[in-house]
Amino acid sequence: MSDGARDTPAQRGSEAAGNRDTPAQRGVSAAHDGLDDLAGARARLAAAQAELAAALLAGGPAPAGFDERRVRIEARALRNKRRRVTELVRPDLASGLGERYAPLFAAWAPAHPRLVGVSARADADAFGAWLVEHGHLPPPPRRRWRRWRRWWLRWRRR
Amino acid sequence: MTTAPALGVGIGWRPEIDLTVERLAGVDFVEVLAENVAAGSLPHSLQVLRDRGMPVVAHAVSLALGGAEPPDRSRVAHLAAVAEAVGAPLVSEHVAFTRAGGLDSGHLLPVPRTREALDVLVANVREAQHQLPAPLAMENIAAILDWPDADLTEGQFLAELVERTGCWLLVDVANLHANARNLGTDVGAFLDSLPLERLAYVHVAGGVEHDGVYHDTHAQAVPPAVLDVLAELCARVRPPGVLLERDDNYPSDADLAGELAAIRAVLAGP
Repeated sequence: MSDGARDTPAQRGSEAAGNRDTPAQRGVSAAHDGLDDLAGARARLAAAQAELAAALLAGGPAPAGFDERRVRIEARALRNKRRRVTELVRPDLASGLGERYAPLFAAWAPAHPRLVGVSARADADAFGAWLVEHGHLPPPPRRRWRRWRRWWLRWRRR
Repeated sequence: MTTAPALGVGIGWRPEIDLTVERLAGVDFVEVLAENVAAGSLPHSLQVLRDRGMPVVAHAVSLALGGAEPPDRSRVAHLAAVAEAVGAPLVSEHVAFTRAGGLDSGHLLPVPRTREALDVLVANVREAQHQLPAPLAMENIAAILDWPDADLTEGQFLAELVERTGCWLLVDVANLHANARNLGTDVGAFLDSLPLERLAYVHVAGGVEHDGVYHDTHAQAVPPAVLDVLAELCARVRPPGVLLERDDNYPSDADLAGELAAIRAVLAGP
């Protein structure tokens, strides 16, 4: 299971910006044609992989040359895996939604792709917060306990 | 080292089946998912296996060596630390990418088989190798879709990777079966194009077919067709190790023992 918790915001930024080289890498590249080629290869690969990732994870169009049906099947397989992982770390969401779990996850996922650096747990929590926000699930009961405990503490002091 | 050390028949160690792995007869080695353990506090079960002298291979899924970026040094360092902690004779990763455009796929995605993508992969593998304390084996993945405009077949791509980096091969016969079913990969031609003297070990796993697409789930029994691919490999080379992967929907100890026995039967030959 891939867990991106170790990524730094700086790395996220550079990936989101399409793999820009650091000034140091540019300096080295200028001195060696081979490395310059590699930097270009990295940039072109980054763009191609980003386009496929957007199609598979964020509901984007299939990139040119790809079998659209296969892209849809792969997108569904990736979404199902993400849903299973979500169920592992937040079983309360699936049990609270019952049969609505899978269709609601399918509705939420492409509009909220998992970003680099977001752990599986944070990803599941984001889905949980969205469900509460849109009225599909009641707020977590823990909050009610907290409120009740605060009331009890006040009551005891009287 | 000209050939990889013999490992025998093994099973992927997972926390859910830790006691099963400890008590199963006929387990010669195990593999641990590096991302799921901390090098400083290994699970007790792994320590027990280590104390028995059982080889523990460190397997990674998140280095994304087929990605456009150079490998994340902290991820490679984590794999290196786990490999040190378990005394791994080998470490392994996939020919795949998992991050692009700021998105995390959560699963292995295939790399375009172009010369240019191979150059990037080679650079990334070399960089990881510098940081790792054990030989690196690279694994073929299961794909549902293929990139257009490939310069090389999957076998040629892996063969060149081995030649240029000196890495070892981890051949996943279930993934090969998946690609044969889904993408029309020719199993025999694939195996013939690989430098099998660089084979470190083999993965075997179960999957399921939906609407004509084979999904490599690691959640079902190993189908006969996957064992047939293992037999095709064994007709060409004696694998130093064969490891059963099971990641979900765990069966009884007896069922897992049966799957290991089925693998041994294929290794023993017709």
